Amino acid sequence: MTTNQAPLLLVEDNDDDVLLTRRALEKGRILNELVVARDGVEAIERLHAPGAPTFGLVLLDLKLPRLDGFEVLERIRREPRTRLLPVVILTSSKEEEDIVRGYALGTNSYVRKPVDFDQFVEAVRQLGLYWLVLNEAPPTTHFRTTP
Amino acid sequence: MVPSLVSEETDVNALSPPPIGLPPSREVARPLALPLGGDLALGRAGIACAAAAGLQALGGVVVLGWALDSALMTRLVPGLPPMAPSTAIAFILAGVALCAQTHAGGRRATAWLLDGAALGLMAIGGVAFAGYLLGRDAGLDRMLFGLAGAPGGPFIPARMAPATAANFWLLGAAIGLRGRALAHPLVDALVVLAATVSLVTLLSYGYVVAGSDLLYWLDPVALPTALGFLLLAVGLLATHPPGCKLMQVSLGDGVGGRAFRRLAPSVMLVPALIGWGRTYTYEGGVLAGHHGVALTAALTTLLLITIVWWTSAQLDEVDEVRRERDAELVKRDAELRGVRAVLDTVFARAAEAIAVLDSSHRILGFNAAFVAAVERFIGPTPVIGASLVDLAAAAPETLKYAVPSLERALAGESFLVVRHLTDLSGEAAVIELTYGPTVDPDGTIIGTVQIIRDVTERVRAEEALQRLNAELERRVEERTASLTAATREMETFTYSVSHDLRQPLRALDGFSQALLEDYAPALDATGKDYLARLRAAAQKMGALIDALLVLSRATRTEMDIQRLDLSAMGAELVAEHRRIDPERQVAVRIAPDLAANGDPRLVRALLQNLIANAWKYTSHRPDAHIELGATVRDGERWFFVRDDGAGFDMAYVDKLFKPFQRLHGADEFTGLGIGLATVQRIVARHGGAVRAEGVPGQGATFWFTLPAPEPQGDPS
Repeated sequence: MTTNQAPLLLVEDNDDDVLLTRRALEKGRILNELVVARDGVEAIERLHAPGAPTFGLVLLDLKLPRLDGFEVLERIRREPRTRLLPVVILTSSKEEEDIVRGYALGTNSYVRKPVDFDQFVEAVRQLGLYWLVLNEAPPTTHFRTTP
Repeated sequence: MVPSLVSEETDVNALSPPPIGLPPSREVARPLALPLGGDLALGRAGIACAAAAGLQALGGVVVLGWALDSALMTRLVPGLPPMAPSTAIAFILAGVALCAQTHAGGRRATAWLLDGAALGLMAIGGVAFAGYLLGRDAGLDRMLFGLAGAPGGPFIPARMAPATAANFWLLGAAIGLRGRALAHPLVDALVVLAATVSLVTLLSYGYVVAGSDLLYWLDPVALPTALGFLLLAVGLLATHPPGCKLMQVSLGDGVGGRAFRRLAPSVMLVPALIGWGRTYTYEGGVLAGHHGVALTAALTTLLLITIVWWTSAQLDEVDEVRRERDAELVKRDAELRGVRAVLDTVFARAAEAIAVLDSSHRILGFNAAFVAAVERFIGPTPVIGASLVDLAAAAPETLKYAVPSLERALAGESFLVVRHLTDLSGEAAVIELTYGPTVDPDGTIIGTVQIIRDVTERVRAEEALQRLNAELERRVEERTASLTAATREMETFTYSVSHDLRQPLRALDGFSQALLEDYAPALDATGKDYLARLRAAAQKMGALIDALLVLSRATRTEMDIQRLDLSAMGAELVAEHRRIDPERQVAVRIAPDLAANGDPRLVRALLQNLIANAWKYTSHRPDAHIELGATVRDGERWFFVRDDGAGFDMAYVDKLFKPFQRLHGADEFTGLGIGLATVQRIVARHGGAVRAEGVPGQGATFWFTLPAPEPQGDPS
């Protein structure tokens, strides 16, 4: 089994959460490069800018300045390059409405951030294990637009 | 000031009560049944016609008899004297006159015919009578049939008897006098006299067997002639115009007439029979002389007194019936008076102004309220007999609608009219006018009734009510709008809570853990303990926030009511607990077929809370029991979850369902104190009730009700 070495994109505006997520990833032995976008607009830029790297996974918060998480997800799915990119919504909300809307817009998973850090570590570790190790990512050629 | 018609709205035919009239009497007065019989089958005309036909037949037979020389036809009984031809012709003439009288009363030609017949009869009688007086036969009969007096007899055969002549004279006079004023008693007297003569003759013939010489005193009246006179007398009496006392009484429908018709035959027959009997005994010499006369008189008295007694008894019976009926009438009259008095009171005291009018709108009656209404709106004081149209003329606007309304009522219509008026003092008023016809007992419309009701207050109240309703509706709309806004705010708030409050908690917990991991050497045991407490507090607050969200969701989510299987739901929840907590030994009993109507997610949350509680509070027992079931109490179905766990003190039962209230210390049983509050809200949202029973150390039972499900098998 090979580990997908593509970088991860964390879309998160809160510094504490960025720090904790980074720590949880380390503790879960997910050593891929972590790119952080502080708001929705930045996330889209990171993903769709010319020459942007192909990400292995997007961890997406919902409550974001400027563009919120749903809008970011919508644009990811609309753009052919990122149409098939695995996206996991990682949020505090457990509202049914949010869950349904997330799946309707094409999220691959919906994970609620637990308060208990141990549980958070466990959740992030499992996410990494699943999406970067167990899961076969779509072929990278499909991400690229024809020149 | 003249009252003005502000507005007018007419509600045509809004009501249609039966026409106003007298109430129907309780029973139709039954006809007075008299025990006296003797109903007259033939009318007067029938009797007269029969008499006229009889006379013509009799006269015709006799004339024919003379022509054929038949002794039977001229004498009826051979050996007796015959009817003279002139007599027969006179009878035919009288029959024609009688017939004419019956069929055409009072016409000129008839009058002449009657007068002619009268004169003819008198002439025939006069000529024959004159012959006797002068001792010479006028020869009328011989002229007619060429008869010669048969020699050897005491009288000239076929000559009109003197009594016959006298009778024709009497009856001719009666016919001539009839129809002439003031002659009625005289006519009756003449006819009765003639009838008496023929009666004497008939009786004489009856007694001739016993021997009587009266018949031979003069030329005898023939038997058919006597019969003819009787017929003529009856016919004349029958055709006599009203005014003839004799016929009025004898043919009348009254008790008198009936009594007469009952008595007359016997009174006529009894003396005749007694006379015959006396004659017979005299002739036979059985009771001659004074004894015979005395016996005859006594017998007559006895028979007549018997008849009189019988008649009196009958009259008494009639009288009795009449008296009963009179008493009944008096009683009914008293009752009617009583009803009338009540109606009068109602009429007088009625708050409605009532006026009863005749067919030309004249006032027949009114009550005090009517006087007040007329004075208020028109001015003059109404009086009985005055025309309502004249009264209304003082206010032209009133007049304009009063007359058409009254005419409509006279045409039989009952209806209600509402009018907005201003009274003489300038105050606005709304009145309701009811018009309707009044009828007599036959149902004929004889006038109208007008009822005026002041409905100003009612109309005002209705208007006020409408305004109030509109205001209320507006307020409800406002409240609904503000409630909707509040709910939206609440949702936004909840959303923020779920997101924003949890984030700092995560930081607290996460960095505390980071400290514990990365800086463990720098911390002593107390420092590590503090950090552990920090983490525990943060995690508890996270749980509290989650519980609050569940609680608020129980209140605000929209419900999708459907039929639920509580038994299956409970079994699933228990299975989940067993999976999470496999080492617990809990005996669970779930009653089958527990069904209710409710929102599946909310009811699931409700059961989850109760079962989780039971699971939790029995954790100290090695062999716990939990039961889910239902019983009917006070006609209502109560579901329950029972356990034999820690229980609780009933003194604190009120606190049980309040959020964040706990009856057990956290060291004993962990918990947030939000589960039962959620249960209570879910049950309340379903319109149900919740109760709890507990004994410390022995267990607790939680009861709740939910809407009953529709019966199974309903296709919809």
